[in-house]
Amino acid sequence: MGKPTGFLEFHRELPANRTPSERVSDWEEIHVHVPTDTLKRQGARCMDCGTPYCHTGKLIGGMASGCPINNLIPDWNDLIFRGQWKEAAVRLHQTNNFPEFTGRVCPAPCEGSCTLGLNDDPVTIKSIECSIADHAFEEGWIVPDTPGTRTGKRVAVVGSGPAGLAAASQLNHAGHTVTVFERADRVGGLLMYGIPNMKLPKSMVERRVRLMANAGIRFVTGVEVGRDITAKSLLSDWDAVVLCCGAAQARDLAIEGRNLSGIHLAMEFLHANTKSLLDSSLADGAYISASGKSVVVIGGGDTGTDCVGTALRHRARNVTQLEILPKPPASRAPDNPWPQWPKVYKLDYGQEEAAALQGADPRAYSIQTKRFVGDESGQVREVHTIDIEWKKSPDGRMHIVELPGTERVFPAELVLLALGFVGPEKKGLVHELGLKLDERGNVVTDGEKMTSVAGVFAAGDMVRGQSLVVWAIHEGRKAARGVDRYLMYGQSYLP
Amino acid sequence: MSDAIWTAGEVPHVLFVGDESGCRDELTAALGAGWAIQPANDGIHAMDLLKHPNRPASIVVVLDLSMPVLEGFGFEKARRADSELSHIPVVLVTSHAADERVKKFGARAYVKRPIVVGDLAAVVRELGEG
Ligand SMILES: Cc1cc2nc3c(=O)[nH]c(=O)nc-3n(C[C@H](O)[C@H](O)[C@H](O)COP(=O)(O)OP(=O)(O)OC[C@H]3O[C@@H](n4cnc5c(N)ncnc54)[C@H](O)[C@@H]3O)c2cc1C
Ligand code: SF4
Repeated sequence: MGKPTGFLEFHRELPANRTPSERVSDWEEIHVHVPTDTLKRQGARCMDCGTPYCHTGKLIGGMASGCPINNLIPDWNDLIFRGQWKEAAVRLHQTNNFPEFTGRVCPAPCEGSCTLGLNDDPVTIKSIECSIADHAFEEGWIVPDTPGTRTGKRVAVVGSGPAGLAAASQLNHAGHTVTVFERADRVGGLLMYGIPNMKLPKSMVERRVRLMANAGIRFVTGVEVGRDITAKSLLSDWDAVVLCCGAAQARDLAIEGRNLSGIHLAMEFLHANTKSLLDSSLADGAYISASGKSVVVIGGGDTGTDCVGTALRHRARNVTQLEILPKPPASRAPDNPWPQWPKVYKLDYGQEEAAALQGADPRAYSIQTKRFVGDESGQVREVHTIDIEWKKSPDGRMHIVELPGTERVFPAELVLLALGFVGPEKKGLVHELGLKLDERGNVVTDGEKMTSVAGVFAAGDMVRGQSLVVWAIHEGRKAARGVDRYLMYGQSYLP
Repeated sequence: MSDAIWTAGEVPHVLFVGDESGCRDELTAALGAGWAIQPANDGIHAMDLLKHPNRPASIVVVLDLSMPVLEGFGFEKARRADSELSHIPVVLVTSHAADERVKKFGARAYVKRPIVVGDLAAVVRELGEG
């Protein structure tokens, strides 16, 4: 355990972020490094409680409680307290292929179930994870994981998001020869073109991909399976196939005025921005600019927040974010006890920046968009909304009641739709292979992550629906184990 | 998929699993005409061969326990779990006959290292005929 009395002596300290006004003027990472002494104190706060929940990853009420990849959190908290960084990095990589990603973007369900959180602030697990990974890279301890022997089996992975990368990494480790196909021009899936640079620097995604390529994994970009090559050809040319194509089908808003110009899906906005940023530092102009505009972001989740942060960096005139759900409480509600994921109000980086620049959190809650109104040239000018209340029906379901007289009009020259995703794209590969889908439209897999087609496995958002990076890693690892057992006649040494 | 497949046709085969290349040629000579030897680099290659549709009817496996990729115990676990393959006789080549794991292994026959080729050929012939 850390220090027996650590949690009594030290308080929770998070890494200092750069100030909002400083960071909106660039695209660099919002966090700064945590000093080693601070980390040691934070590791010391871990009590190594008898039955730690932080690493369980159990689903309670549909949300993760504890780490979905079962990171050995109390182990590395103790190692950090004792200054054994290298051992901590080894222990961390046993369960997590990409701690430098989760240490930055994970919402940290581990912290929501930390025992210390019962009556104090939880251990800063995510920040410790991030620092262990960063330290290991700085010291040169992270080297290509090249397998000693090759099995002669060839595996194709389709999609290079965290699920595909985790599967590829594990399968390569087991000695299989892995090729990853990606339709975008860069590898990384939503790590590359979804989550913006200030939250996860793209140099870090590229660094990890380089290590994997040096370990023998082949990456083929600009190839869409199901269009540029048939999915069936993969079946005949490879010993197994792992599909990790994400849940890219965005939820749209089919209301009056949707066809006006200036209304875009969030992913069109975010993808083009990162691509232009990486290609030319935005000099090529090949992105949707929010500069000088009134921007309305519809959707209050992570994607919406990333749109807010990105629009502010374009120097938008102002940004408003509309959320259909009610404002969460400041502390846990009675029906949301520890160790459940805490459904409480949070000011994420984008909203914090908007608050600093505009004077207030940009979110309006319990609000529904009714229609878009444009000018004579067909350009959107206004978003018309109405406030709503959530009521319970007799059958226990929640439904929306509009509140007459609460109609509002928000000026808007750019509207970004961040309403979530409705599962994997059905045209192309899913259709061609005739994969069985569940009632939500996600790909069905068995306990080994094999789909309804023999030898074809699936993992990540394609199976779970829109989820988290940490779950994608969990899924990719699990699929790799399934593939390994399939190829090795039931034997697998993969964790 | 592994490229090497059964090429000698329907004659009794020794599936020689693991790296004993030195004695392969000697064994071919000792067994004489009517037998073919099919080498496999490791357990996974051997399983691929056993699952191949061209697999001949009569096979004796000569198995080295220490191999890369799918080692001997893993290969045997997989083979024995497969109802189509579990009847195939296996001769175990070992330097550790007294090892507990080897004792428990339950092969049809054991041959100690260094291999005396004449003895191995006799065992193979007996199992092949049985
Ligand atoms: C804007 C945004 C922000 C997010 N922020 C966070 C966050 O902060 N923290 C967090 O934990 N999660 C976040 N998420 C969720 C997280 O990014 C996803 O859950 C995760 O990336 C899913 O991983 P995946 O590997 O399943 O799929 P993806 O990351 O979606 O990758 C799928 C890849 O497959 C490729 N592909 C699809 N079809 C084909 C084909 N036919 N041929 C070849 N390639 C194909 C796609 O181009 C894509 O690169 C965010 C999501 C979005 C959209
Ligand atoms: S991956 Fe996420 S849940 Fe797991 S330890 Fe890291 S921050 Fe916590």
